[in-house]
Amino acid sequence: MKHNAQRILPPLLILAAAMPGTILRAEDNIIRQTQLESGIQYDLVTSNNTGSAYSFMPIEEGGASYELYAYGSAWDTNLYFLDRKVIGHYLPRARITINTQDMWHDWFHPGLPPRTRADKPYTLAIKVWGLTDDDDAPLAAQKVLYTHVGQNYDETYTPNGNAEYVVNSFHMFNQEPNYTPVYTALVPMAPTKAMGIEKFTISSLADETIPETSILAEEMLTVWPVSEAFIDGVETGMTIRDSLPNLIIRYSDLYPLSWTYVQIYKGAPQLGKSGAIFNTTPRWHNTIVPQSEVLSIENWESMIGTDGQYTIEVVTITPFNNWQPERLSHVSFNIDRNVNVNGQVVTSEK
Amino acid sequence: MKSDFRIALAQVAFAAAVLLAVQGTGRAQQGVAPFKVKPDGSVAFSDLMELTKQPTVADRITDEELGAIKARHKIQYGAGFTPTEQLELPPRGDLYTNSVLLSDGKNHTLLPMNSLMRVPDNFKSRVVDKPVGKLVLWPEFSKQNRAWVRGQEITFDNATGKTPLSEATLLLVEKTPAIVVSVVNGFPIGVKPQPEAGEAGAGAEAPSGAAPKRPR
Repeated sequence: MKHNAQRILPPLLILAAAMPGTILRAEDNIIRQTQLESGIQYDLVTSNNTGSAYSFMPIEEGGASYELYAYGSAWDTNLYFLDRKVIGHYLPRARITINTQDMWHDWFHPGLPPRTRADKPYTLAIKVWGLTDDDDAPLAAQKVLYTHVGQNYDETYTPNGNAEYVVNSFHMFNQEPNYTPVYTALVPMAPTKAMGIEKFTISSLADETIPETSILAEEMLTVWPVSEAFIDGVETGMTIRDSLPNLIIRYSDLYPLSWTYVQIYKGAPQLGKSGAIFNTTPRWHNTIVPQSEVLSIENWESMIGTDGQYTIEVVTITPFNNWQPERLSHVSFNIDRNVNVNGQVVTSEK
Repeated sequence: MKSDFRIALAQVAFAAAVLLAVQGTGRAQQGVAPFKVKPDGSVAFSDLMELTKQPTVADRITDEELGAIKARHKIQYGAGFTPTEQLELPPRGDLYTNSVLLSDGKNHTLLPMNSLMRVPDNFKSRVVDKPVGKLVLWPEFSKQNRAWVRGQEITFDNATGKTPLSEATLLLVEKTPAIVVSVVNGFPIGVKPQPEAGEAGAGAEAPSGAAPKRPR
C-alpha cells in the first residue's frame, strides 16, 4: 500500500509519555521531522503537553520520521527521547496493554506509566496486525521487533546511571496474545526489593523501503519494592518489668499509595486481630515514589492494661489485596510489673 | 480515649495531564476504593480509620516465597514469536548525534543539520562539537543571543530545493553580521544543498551547517 507522495500529514497527535518516576515540566518539547529521502530536518518546538500539531513539511516519496523529545523533571534537565513514528509506504499496527492491581494510579497520576509492587502480578496484552505472510514482501511488512527491557532504580528511585538490559527480544507476526499473571522481570538483589522500570516496545523493522524504524507501540511499567517495617526497643520474647522503653519504628519503602500504622493488642501474634493504634504512627501517602520514615514512640503507658503478653504490629493498606491490611512486621513481648515476694515473714523477739 | 491524630501527608505531585497516543495503549478502569478522595488528593481521616477496622489478611511475603512464585509464572511466548539472533534494544533517538550545536559559552542549543546559512568568521567559535552547559531550545536561545544569531525565514520549497532562495534573501543573509539559521515559521530547518550552475541533479554535498550557494 503506497502513500501519496508529498501529501500533507493529517493532524498528528503528539505523544508524550512521561519517564517513570519523572514529572514532565510543562515546558517545551521538540518534534524533529526528517525527510527520509533528502535528509532535511525540521525542529518544531511545542509548549503543550497535550494536543495535536500539523506537520508543516510535506512528506516526500521516501517518507518521513517524527521523533519526540522532552525534558525530564524539575531536577532533571536532560532531554529524553520519547517516541518515533515513521510515515512511509507501509507500517503495521500494534498495541500493548498493561493492567495492574493498582488501578488508582491512573486516576491520581494520569499520564504516568502503570505501576505495581515487586510481589504483585500484572496482565500483559499484545496485539500486532497488518503484517503479511508473503515472503516476497519487504521485511518491514512481514514482521515486527518486540523487545522487553528492564532498568533498575537505586535508592534515589531513579535509574541514576543504571544501564538498561534486554530481558527478551523477538520478531513477531500477526497475533494477539494475553499473559497473566506476569511478575516483574527486574533482576534485583532480593525478589521483594525489585525496583525499576520495564519497557515493552514493538517497533517496525528497517528495510530497503523504510530505512528508519518506527515505534508502533510502547508501554512502561514501574515496579516498586515490597514495604518493610522494623520495630526497635522491644524484642520478641523479652519481659518488661519496669518502665516501658521508647520504641523506634522504621517505615521503609512504603508503597506510594498506602495507609500505614502501628497497633498493639494483648495476646500472642494473631493474623486478623485488630488492636489499638499508636496515635502518632498513621501515615497516608499518595505520591509518585515510595516513602520511608523513622518514628519514635514514647510514653505509651496508656496503651498497656494488665500484665501479660502483648503484640505490636506494623500494618499497611494498599490497593493490593483489595485495600485489606497486610502485616509488615510484629513483635511480641511480656509485661510483668507485679512484685512477687517468695519467702516467710519472720519476727524475732529478744 | 480520644486523641488528636496528625496525619502526615506526603507531598502530592501530579504529573501534567498528557495524552498517550500510542496505538491502543490501554489503561485499567478505575477501581472502587473504600474511601472518598478530595480534589487535592487527600482522604478524610475518618475514611482511613475505617480501613483499620479490617483484619489483617496476610504477612509480608518473604524473598523465598516470592522467588518460588515467580519461578512458576514466567511468560511463555508462543509460536508467533521468533527469538532474535541476539538480544536487541528497541530503537532510540539521539538528537545530539544528528544536530548542529551552537553555544553562547554558558549554554547550548540544537539545530537541524544544514540549517546554518551564514557563519561569520568572528562567530565560528560559537559552532561547537560538544554541548556546553544546559540545553536551551531554539526559541529561547535565539532570544537570549540575538546579538550574534538570527533566524532567516524561508519556505519549505526553499528548504527542499524546489524553489531557489530569492536574490533579496541571499543578499540579506550575506549582509547580516551574525550567524544566520534558516527557519520556517520561526522553527529551524535544514536546507538541501543548492546545485551549482551546470551541475546535474542534487549537486555536491555541502558540509554540515554550510550556507547554501547562490544560484547563478
